[in-house]
Amino acid sequence: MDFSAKHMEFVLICYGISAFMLLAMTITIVMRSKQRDRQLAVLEKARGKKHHKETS
Amino acid sequence: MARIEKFANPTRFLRLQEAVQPWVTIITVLLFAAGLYFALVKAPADYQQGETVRIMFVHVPAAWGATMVYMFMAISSAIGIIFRHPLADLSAKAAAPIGAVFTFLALVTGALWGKPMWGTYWVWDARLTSFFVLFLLYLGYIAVWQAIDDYHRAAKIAAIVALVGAINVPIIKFSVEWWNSLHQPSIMSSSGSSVHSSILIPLLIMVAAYSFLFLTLHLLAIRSELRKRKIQQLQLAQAQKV
Repeated sequence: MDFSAKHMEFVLICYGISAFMLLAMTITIVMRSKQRDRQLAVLEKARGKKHHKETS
Repeated sequence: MARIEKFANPTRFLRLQEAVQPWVTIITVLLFAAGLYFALVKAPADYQQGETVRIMFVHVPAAWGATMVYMFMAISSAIGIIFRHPLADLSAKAAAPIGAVFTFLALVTGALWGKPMWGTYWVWDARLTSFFVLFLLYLGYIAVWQAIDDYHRAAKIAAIVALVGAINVPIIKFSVEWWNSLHQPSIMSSSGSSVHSSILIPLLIMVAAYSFLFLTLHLLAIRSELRKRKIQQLQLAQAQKV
C-alpha cells in the first residue's frame, strides 16, 4: 500500500471509522452480556438464600 | 420446523451458544486477520481507482452485512408471528443494532469513496436513497422496541415493521438495473464475477469476516436478551413477595 498515493486520506478514514465502530459495538455487546450474567448470578444467589431460609 | 422447535427452549439455546461461541469468535478473528492482510498488503492498487479501491474491502462487506442482517431479521420476525417461536422475536431484536451499524458503515464508507471517484459525497440516486431508507428502517425497528414496554405488543409491531421494510431489500438489489444510477452494477452475476481474483479474494474473505462477526455478536446479544428477561422475571417475583 502506497501511503503517499492520491486520496489516501479517504482510505485511512474509512478503515479508521470501520475499526472504531466495529470495536465499539463488540465491546458494548460483550460488556452488556457480562454485566447481565453478573446481575443474574447475584439475583439467583439471593433467591437461593431466601429459599433456604424459608425451608429450614 | 421440528429442528427450529428444538432450539425454542432457551436453556438448550444457551447450552449451544456456550459451546459454539469460542469457535465462531476464533474464526471471526482469523478471517479478519487474513482479510485485512490481503486487502491492505496483497491486493494491488486499481489501474483506474488507485489506492481508493481498498475502500471496497470495508464498504462491500458492510453493505452485504446490512442487507443480509435485515433479511435475517425479517425471516425471524415472520417465524415469530407465524409459529410463535419464543426465540425468534429475541433473535430479530438482537440483530437490529448490528445491522444498523453495518448500514451506517456502508453509507459512510460509500460516501468517502464517492468523493474522490464521483466528485461528491452523496447523490439522491436509487441505490443510495434505498440504502438510506434501510438505515431509517433499522432505526424505526429499534425505536419500536424502545418505545413500547409490553414485550408481546412490541414484538408484534416490530415484526410488522421488519416485514413491511423487507420490500426495500429487492429494491436495493435491483435499483442499479431498474433506474439510471451512479452506483456500479453488482460485481457477481450468474455468469461469474467481473472482478479480478486479486481483488475478489480479499473481498470475499472480508464478506465472510463480517458475516462471522455478525454470528459472534448475535449469539452474545441473544444470550444477553435472555438474561435480561430472566432478571426482569426474578425482580418481579421479588417485588411481588415484598
